[in-house]
Amino acid sequence: MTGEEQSTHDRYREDLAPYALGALPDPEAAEVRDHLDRCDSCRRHLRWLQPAVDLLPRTVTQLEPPPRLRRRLMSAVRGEARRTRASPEPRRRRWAALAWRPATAAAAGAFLVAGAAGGYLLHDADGSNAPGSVTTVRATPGSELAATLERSDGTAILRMSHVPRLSGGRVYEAWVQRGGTVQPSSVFQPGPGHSAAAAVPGAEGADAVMVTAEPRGGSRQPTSRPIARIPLN
Amino acid sequence: MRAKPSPALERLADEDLMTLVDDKDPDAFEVFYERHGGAAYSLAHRIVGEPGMAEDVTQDAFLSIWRSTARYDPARGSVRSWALGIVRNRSIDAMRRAARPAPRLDLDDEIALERQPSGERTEAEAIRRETAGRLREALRLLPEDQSRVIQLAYFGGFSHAEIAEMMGAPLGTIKGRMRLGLEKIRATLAEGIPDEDARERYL
Repeated sequence: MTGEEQSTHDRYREDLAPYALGALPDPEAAEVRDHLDRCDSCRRHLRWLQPAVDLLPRTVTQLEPPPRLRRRLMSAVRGEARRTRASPEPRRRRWAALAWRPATAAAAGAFLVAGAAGGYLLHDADGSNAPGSVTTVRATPGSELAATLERSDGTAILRMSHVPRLSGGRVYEAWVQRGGTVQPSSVFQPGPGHSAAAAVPGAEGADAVMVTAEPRGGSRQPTSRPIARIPLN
Repeated sequence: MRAKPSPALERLADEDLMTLVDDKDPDAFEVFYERHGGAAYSLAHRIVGEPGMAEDVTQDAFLSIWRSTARYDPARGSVRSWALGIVRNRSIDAMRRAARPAPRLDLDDEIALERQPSGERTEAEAIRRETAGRLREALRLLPEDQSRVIQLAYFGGFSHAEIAEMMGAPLGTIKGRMRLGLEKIRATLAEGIPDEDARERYL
């Protein structure tokens, strides 16, 4: 590093604390961002410093937000989710668009009541299909991919590990198999660490949940072989 | 009457929950609000200093997350830090729009935390509160001029130049105080912060 480069570097180093605190006005903040792109040492220093800033919110008096804040927020959110569902534009199948609510909410209620009244009539004698049950499968012998379906209170959450990344905007899609019919459920992508989690609406009372890789936006019918099948009965 | 969020959703880690929120799942979003709404509202209240405006700002920030105008990037830190960063920026913007000075810049009122718990339902929440205590202590132990510039910047939304003018000190001095203060807080945290905000991605 030349003397001049060193002094430029030192100047940016002094700017990292104000930058992390959001105290640099825009032109200077942009310069720091440029420098960070080029300078590994400053990037590391900022990463080290950042938690001190991130934790500042915890030093403030913790207050209970007024209940109407939640009501206002959730009424806007649920309204928008319903409009997304009603929208004729099929751009991407959201699983909110699959009538989980209110239909499933009602179904979940019925499920619980029936379960309480006579679980054995509805479920396997060994109770493996009872609310709160967890079913785990390995996809194929030798494969590391594992899938778990957790069910409680009418909600089914699918968790998968060692899920291969998909290219070209392709997605994974969960399917609910009931008798001879297969219905689309949620569409998802693996998150960090090749794991995935997705709610699977409509899984209660089904025979199996399957997962396939599908083109962007998901499909109406499976177009590839399932990478996992979780039998529920 | 509000149905209780599903226990299966409540068990999801924040990152997994955000995948569902990105997919426009209102129930997952409600769990997300349940977890972080209190901290968000408290931060907004600290910055704007007034309940009505704090409410509007919090709602604004959460709606922007719901509408995916703000997207979670795991590289940047925990979901909580990310969400609170959005709340902080929105609060500062709202203050600027209202052209109002920052209301409070001392630490005295923070002691009230112990008397106003926002609900300590989980062990994580308890740990969080213990960490908050340690962090407040670290902030309190800073020399006054360092703690003041940090608070003016983060909670007051003032630029380093504005702070330099306010305090009648050269810009370089202000930057130096910010750096020394943050480095001290960071060193305290490095001594062992037992929860989700200080993880390997920072180290």
